[in-house]
Amino acid sequence: MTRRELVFSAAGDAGQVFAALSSRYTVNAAPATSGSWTCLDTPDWLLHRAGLTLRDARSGRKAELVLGGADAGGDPLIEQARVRAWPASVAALPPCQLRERVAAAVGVRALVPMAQVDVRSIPMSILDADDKTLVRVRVDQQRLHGKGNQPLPLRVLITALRGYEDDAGRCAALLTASLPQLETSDATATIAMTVAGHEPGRETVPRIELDPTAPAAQSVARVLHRLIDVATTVVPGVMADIDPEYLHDLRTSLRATRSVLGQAGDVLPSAQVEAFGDEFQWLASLTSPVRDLDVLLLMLTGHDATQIGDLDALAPLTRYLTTRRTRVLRTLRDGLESARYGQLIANWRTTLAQAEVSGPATAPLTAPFIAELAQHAYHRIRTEAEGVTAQTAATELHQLRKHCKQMRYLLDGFATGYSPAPLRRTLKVLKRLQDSLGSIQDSTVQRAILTGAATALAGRGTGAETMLQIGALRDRIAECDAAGREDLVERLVAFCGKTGRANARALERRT
Amino acid sequence: MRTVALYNIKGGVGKTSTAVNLAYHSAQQGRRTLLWDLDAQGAATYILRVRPRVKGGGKALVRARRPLEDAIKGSDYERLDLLPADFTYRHLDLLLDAEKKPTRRLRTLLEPLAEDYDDIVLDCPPSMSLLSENILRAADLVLVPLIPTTLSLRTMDQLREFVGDQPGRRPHVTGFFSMVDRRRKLHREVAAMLPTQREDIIAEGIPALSIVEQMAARREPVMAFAPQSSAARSYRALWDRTLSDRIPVR
Repeated sequence: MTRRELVFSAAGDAGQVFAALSSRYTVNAAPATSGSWTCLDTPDWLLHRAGLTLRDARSGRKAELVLGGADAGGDPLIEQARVRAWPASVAALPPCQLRERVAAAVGVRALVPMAQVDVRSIPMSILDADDKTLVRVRVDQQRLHGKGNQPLPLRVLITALRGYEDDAGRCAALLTASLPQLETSDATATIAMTVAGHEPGRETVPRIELDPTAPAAQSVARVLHRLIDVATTVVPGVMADIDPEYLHDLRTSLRATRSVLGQAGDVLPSAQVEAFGDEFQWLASLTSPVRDLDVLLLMLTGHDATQIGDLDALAPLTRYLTTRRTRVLRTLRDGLESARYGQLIANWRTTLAQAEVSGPATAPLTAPFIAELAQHAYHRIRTEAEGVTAQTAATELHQLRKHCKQMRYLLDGFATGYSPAPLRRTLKVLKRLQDSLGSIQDSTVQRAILTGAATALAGRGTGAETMLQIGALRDRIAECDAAGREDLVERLVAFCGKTGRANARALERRT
Repeated sequence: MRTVALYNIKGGVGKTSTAVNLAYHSAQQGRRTLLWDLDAQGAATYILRVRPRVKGGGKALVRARRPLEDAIKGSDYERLDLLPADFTYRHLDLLLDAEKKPTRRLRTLLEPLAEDYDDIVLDCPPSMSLLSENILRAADLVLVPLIPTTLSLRTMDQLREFVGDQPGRRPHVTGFFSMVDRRRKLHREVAAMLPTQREDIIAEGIPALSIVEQMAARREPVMAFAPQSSAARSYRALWDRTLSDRIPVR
């Protein structure tokens, strides 16, 4: 049975479809049914960027997930599945090919409802002279749920019965000749999301274009302004605990803020900067315990968790860590709801707004100056990297990681001030280096947490199988750590070597 | 994939109506089902409103000049497809005879469909021929509709003997009563007695009802247009006894 989907403009209706098909065939229309579908994507549009669309379609007792899009390859993947509520992680989907495809695109990010569409479906049968069904046609009249129930494109699904494919082709031709057709079925999802107020693919907080003639204080303030916008945009996601990436983004923007303040903050009034630096450190410190547990819990509860060991035996560990996470998340939420946090954000925004409008009359943030900052950061990394081997202790790698982050924040924050090609090449090797350092750091933290958890669980008389599985998990993390260290040495050579140096030198933007 | 043949040496015993209803019920149970109308008269094809024509005829199919898949037609019912009859099927014996390993031909032709279908139902013409040998080789289960008369026992024995004579793989053979007229004492007695005496004849039978005959006029399975009727219940009971997943098919 082959299915073909046609999408016509919202001006079309089932009557027009019926009339067009009746010109050649006997058409039998059945009573209409009601349903709905919800368009899903991650908050940062990872499915859209991967050329995919995911819909949760419901009609009566039937619930199915439909993965389509230009890059889905061939017909849409359809899986009968009812996910209790959105947002949800990929782990909430039943194990199937669709889940694997979605997981590859979204990783740990949650799937969030972007638009809900109400559908009135009119099934039609195309009959021959013997009243035999040749083709099934379903006309979906769609309207956005809420927002004035705006009409959306008319969707026509043509299903050829086996052996009657030619008739299905003729039906499609009749319809496309009679009604204004849109390009692809995915246009509906994109239109629905747009009508719902989203801009698919757009960054929640757009990147900024620096003005090379603006005073340095103003440029730095704009970079910092964007970072605080990112932080405050993701806070609701942290509070609602939608997925761990909200917290990750919050931590990254806080660290970047502190890093930019440390490296370029001297163009702002110093008294203000110092005070805010301490406050941001307080905020960042609230996030660390949750993040450390998130990394470990992702291993234990992610969609591919079965690969790490006997999950039943590890269940007491998962419960223990989840309880601990609930506690530290509560502390973080309290912090994010506190007057101290509210005051920090409000004062910081006021300070930045003042700096942007009437800050100190500093010289512009020239390309050579920004490049010099990056050069400094690069040399700090090189100096720190001297003598690093696969055996270097994690604590000794900590400083190196910090320098890498500082350089990364500079490159990201002032991206438009750098020469694009060397920036791209430098970022590529820097990211790889950061990945290695991050995984070494994560493995150290995870093993420490596991040691603590094992001690606590042993004290509660937890079974031997669980303790053995925790030990095995710790060993597996240690093995990954060893492999990561080999990669680290290789990546340091790539970053600090001749090519890396040449790229870092070429970062200065020439006009 | 499992293959079920509705077969009897005699004609007019309810093979087609049973084949159509069992195939329909199989599809309704969520199983991807193919009904192959092997009878040149094309009654099953007619009931399912499909034109009784296969491009290239039986010759193209038997000689694999045309894949079997290309001749399949979707029915009006979800998951139920039909391989229509063709008038040239009346020469199937001759066509099969011209092939290498002629008794295995049907089975070989069906093999590529294993991934597409859960159940294949064969509506067989009445005969005892090379085509019959093919059917017995291809089928996992042969359902034999029997009119409840004393002669039906003889028919069943002849068939068992025929199956017993076949070399190699043999299907499970089950007889059931068809066109049972409850007003007739003989029908009642035979239908009650034989299942208690023979393990290869089951008690579940199909009554002789005018609603079954209406299938040809309405061109639909009884189970589709009268799902609560006594006939539909009987077909369901026959399915449950012989083809529900609880009963393994050899």
